[in-house]
Amino acid sequence: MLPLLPPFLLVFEPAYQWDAHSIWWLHAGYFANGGEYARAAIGNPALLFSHTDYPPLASAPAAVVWSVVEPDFRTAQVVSALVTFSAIAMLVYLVRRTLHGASARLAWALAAGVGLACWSTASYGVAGGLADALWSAAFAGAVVALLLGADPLRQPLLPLLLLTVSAVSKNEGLVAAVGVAVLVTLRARGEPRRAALVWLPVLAGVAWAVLARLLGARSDITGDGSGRVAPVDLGAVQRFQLTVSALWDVVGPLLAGAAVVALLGTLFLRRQRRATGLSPDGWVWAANGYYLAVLVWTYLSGPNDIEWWLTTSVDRVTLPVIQLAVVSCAGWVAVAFGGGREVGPHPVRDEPPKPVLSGATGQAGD
Amino acid sequence: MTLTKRRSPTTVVRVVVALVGVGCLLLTAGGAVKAAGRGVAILHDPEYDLPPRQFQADYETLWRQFVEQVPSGSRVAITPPQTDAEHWQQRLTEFAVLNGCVVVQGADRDYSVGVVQVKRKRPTGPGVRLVVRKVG
Repeated sequence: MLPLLPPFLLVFEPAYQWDAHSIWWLHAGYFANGGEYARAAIGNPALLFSHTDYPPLASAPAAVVWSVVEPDFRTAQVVSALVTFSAIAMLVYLVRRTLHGASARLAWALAAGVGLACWSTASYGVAGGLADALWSAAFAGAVVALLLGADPLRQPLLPLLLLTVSAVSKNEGLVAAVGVAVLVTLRARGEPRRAALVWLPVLAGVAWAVLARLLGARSDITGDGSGRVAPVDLGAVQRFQLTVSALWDVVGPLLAGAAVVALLGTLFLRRQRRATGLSPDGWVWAANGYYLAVLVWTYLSGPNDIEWWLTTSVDRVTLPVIQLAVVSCAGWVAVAFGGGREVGPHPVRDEPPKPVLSGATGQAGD
Repeated sequence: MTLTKRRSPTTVVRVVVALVGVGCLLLTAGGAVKAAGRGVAILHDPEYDLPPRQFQADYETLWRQFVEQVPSGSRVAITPPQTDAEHWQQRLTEFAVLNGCVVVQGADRDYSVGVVQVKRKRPTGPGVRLVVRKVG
């Protein structure tokens, strides 16, 4: 975890990020004032700009601290940053655990690389009090454990916890969690009872969404919220072009590089990948493609001024795309360096793994 | 006679995959390097990147004045400031919520709260002052 500490120094930056104040700490404020106050605030039209439909987890830790000590933005920033850092630490741990077929040194180096990618496009996001790095690190960790590992549901507690964090931290996290739940259900179609566990985090996220709606919260995505409406209504084609251009600027080169790695690996190193104990890479790319498609669709169908919307959000909402791309790369680099080596006993397992899922080692279609 | 040792295609692919894959990981580590550099600069130079420090000074000053002048539980209406209206509207709403006040948009209010700009006495000092008017 040592390589993750230097970028975390940004926690000493002044607590000034717009979204941290306007959304997450404002929500922490009404949660800290008690349930009755929070219920009234969520439905208060004066707070429309604050996205009161957003899930509560990213604000909850600061609210808990503020219910004990006087509200203070520096405290809130440190608390938010520590929670996000813990999600990144879990992502790093799960990458290391999943790459058990590679040498320990290589696996740790790759895991640290995946962790550092959490600062990639929005370096202010991890320690600035925002929720994007929190939910995307938790989401990526869940994908690593549930879709990259060969035997994901054998130790489901941590990945399900992370998927729940994703689903109850931000609306995008819930949408992403639905995609992972679908993919895991497909992988585990032979064992529907165990696969059903993966829908619990989705249930938690949906429960909040329903509750917030009942309390009167409104969403900018569905057109009744706080977004900035476009001065001129651009056509769908123009919105699509602007969206793809902005996405390419932020994640294009990385996705191209990761796709080359994945393509070469899939064509030439499949046998070595199986020997390294990893599932086919297509699962991770399916999760990434799903999230990217949802992102494009959201930008196309949302009511906001597309140029303003992209400028203020694209660097943050593409974090999961980046993280899953580097997860794919890390898997193939582990195969390239150590593929073909027989997988020894799993460092955290106490019995041989059972091939439960359709994409698991020995059952892969390749 | 010279013997040349030919590498297998798999070995070449391994090298390419490793190089491009590590390249991608290094590419995404750029943000962490930037964050670390900024963190170090913030710790070492008290006047590094002044605007965020000024924002923080403004927020902390307004928050302190809000707690002192507006009782918790009051009905508060935000008076839109003349400059940077959206920014201050949202910050004052945030402070009102943190203080347990009810933010209202109509005439039924106990206090009107706004912000005025003041001259900073030092570079990292506050540049705003809270204006509170009791209505009810």
